[in-house]
Amino acid sequence: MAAKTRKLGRGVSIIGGGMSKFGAFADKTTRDLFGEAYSEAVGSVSKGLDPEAIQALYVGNFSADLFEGQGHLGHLMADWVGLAPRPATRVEGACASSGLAFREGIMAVASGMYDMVLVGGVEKMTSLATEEVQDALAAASDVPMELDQAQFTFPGLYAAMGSAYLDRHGATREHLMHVAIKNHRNGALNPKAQFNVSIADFMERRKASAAKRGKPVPEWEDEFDFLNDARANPQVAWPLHLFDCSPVTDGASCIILAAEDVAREYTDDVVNVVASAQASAGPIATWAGDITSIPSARIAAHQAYEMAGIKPSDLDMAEVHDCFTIAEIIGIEDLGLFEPGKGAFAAAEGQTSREAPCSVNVSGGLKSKGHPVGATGTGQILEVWTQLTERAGDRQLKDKDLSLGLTHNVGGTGGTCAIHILERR
Amino acid sequence: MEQTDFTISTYKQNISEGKLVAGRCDKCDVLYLPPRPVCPQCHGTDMGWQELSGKGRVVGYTSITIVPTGMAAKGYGRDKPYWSAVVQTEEGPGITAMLEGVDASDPSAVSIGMPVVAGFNQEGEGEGARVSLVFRPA
Repeated sequence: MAAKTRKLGRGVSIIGGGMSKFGAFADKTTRDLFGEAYSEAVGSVSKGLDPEAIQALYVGNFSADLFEGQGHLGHLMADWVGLAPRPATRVEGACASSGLAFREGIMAVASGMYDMVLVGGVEKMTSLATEEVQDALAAASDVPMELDQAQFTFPGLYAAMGSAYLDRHGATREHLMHVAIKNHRNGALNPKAQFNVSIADFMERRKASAAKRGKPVPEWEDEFDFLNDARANPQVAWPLHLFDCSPVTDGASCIILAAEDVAREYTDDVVNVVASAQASAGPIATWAGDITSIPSARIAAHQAYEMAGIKPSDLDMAEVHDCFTIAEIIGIEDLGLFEPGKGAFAAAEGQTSREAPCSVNVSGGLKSKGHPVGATGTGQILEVWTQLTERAGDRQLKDKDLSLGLTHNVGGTGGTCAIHILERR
Repeated sequence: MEQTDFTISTYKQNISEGKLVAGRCDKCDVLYLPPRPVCPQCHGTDMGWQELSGKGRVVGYTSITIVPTGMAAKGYGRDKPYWSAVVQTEEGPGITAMLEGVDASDPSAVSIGMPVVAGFNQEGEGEGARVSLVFRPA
């Protein structure tokens, strides 16, 4: 069984962070994206940072090998940002790659090996056609069993989890739509988001575009009407449709970690890592018939709360791995924010909105901010740090005393899950 | 059953012979799919083989319209979706496989708990022949 919950050997703080814009950039490679995130991260350190102080790098990346034909990424990123010959380690855990890189960095600092490390993630995905992207992502599944034997795509695997959830709890596609509508509304406030537009505004743009081209203007009454129109929102894998899925994205994100005892030399806005937890699970077929919840997420969440000494109700915000709308609903239940079966209904009632006690995915989430898979984990961390240090601009949460935020980063269908809790000190 | 290595290759070899087999930990009396050399419960290696009946029930399903390139090459896609499912076998272990014999353009044609039974499809002949496992309504 899982080992007894442990504390970090010494305190670890975030002193800076940055990200590239998330989107589709034909003229940018992995290096260019990582370089943008790195520069913003170094520039964000409020009392200034001489990069010479950085002692090692941990870079999350799922598969530049498949997307760009480029392997051996760690040293290339280090060289590109002028940090060679420092040790640079690539970390891979599918969509949780940089959540794991963050954890490796934490442990390296907590151990006393380093006082400061750069952690980050990067993925350049749009160089392939959509079908080829789907093939590349399928490499993160159990290839002989889930792909070769079952022909499951990644949306398909989450769709199967969705079919079980809807059946067991009496939820509907409309409940899933609430997640997409909320996350796009949040993402509309985030200038770095790939789709920084609400679904309502997107719908109006589509109408205006049709009118301009002299085509019949669709008569959608509201967002639900739009999302129920199979021409506007085609099925990908039932019950998931296009607007239930996070997009294909290019992007990078970086975080600078320092030992707590040196952090104040660099910033007065110290944000500490108060929990770092990670768990594994087998493919969904091994979950004893219950695929409405992700075992690794439940276990990592439990360990994280224990390590931080807090309850889910203490959280002010959470960045939850919404690679698909159903994933956010299952995620908020696995995190203990809502009881099993209540997540879909809570989402529909606005209990995950910006205004909720625990705001979920104020960045726009993977759904609207974008999902450059290897960059997503540190992208989530960056959003929590940005909010806790009151740097979030138009999307800054203002009506509550922000102190605790959580990130939930899932690799594959939960083969890997990394959960972190950050606290403003 | 003959005592062979607990590998994915052995599992596939059995499928090609029309048999769905699981690994069994003789100490814990628990079955595993795919078969594996080490029992996750006792960490022991007293593993054996057991052929399954092929009967099970659906615990998750989806009709896929945006298909992998391999399925697109076989003509599947937006106008011709297919079913993939998670099936819990009556002996215990779960398995992911395609589902046949149900209209994939009608999501209500499959339901959670639906009884299914394993079948084996032969594709091609001679050297390139391949047998694949599918489930069908029981």
